Amino acid sequence: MNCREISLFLSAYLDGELAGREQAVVAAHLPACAACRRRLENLKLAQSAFAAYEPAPASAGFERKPRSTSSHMERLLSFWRKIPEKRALALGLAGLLLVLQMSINFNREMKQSQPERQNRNAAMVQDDAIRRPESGYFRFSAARDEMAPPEESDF
Amino acid sequence: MRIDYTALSDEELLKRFISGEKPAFERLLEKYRERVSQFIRWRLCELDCHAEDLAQEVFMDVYLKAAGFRFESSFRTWLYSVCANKCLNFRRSHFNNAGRAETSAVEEEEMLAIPDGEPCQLEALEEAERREIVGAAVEALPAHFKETLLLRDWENLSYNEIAQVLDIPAGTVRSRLHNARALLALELRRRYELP
Repeated sequence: MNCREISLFLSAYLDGELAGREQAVVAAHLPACAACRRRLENLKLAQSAFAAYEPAPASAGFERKPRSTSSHMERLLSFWRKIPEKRALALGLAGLLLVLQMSINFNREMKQSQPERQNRNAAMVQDDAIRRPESGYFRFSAARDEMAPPEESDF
Repeated sequence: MRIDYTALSDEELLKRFISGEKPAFERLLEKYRERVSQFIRWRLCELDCHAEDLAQEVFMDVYLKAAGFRFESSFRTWLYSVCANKCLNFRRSHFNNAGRAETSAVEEEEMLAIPDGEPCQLEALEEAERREIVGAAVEALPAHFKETLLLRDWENLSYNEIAQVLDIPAGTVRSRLHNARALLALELRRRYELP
């Protein structure tokens, strides 16, 4: 193999990823070739530079956003998992809201129909008085009229 | 007795989490969240503003699906496979197509020449200057080179594991790593030699 062919194996040689025969060929070539040794040194430099590279803190947002902390994740997940346990509570709450809504509707309906009902009651009483003059209401009215002092006459 | 979770392997942490030890999950989250966010950021390219949200979804998936993990691969391979799938689905939902945008001008088949001059003496530089040169050189690489380097040089995955995560042939992983390092060596040299 010439230097050009050997150089294609150097990166994998560095990583220990060559098959036995290729590994042996490269290992035998290097002591005799200064240029290939320098190539290998340049690859090692690139490898160590990348390995030591620390990008700007990528996950600053992980700290900044409360939802990204693991404890928040834990709370979120535990809520999901507890949904079946909370079903009874949710049903009870829904029932309570339903009863509340129904009672509000009932009260509103009662308030709206009160004058109408009073009118209807008054009409019923009048009707009753006409049909039954001996009824208590009529008699009471008649007694009241009798007890009233006679109107003074101008004569 | 207080357990030192930092001393446990990923698989051991996962087993403990499955058996109900929540701090084991906290440890996995703490250990991988930066790298996972970075991997997603590079993989999403121009959509990288969504990286943190996707990273959270990845850990949510790990949390919910841990019990179904069969321990047939390493935890890291599984974790990054989840990331890669999330990114793929996200890109599909955004662009309504099946693939990711390859932004590199370097073709997979083309094998770049490795510089054969004396390696630059980065260690002789001051810390801040070295950081600046390395940071600029790394960020100049195409995204698919950076994500492959991350899996190899940060996570120490084998070529076959990287192929599994990225859903590409192992031969492509090999050529991609070769090109990524050759290009990084060139970028470092170029920036180191700048007046």
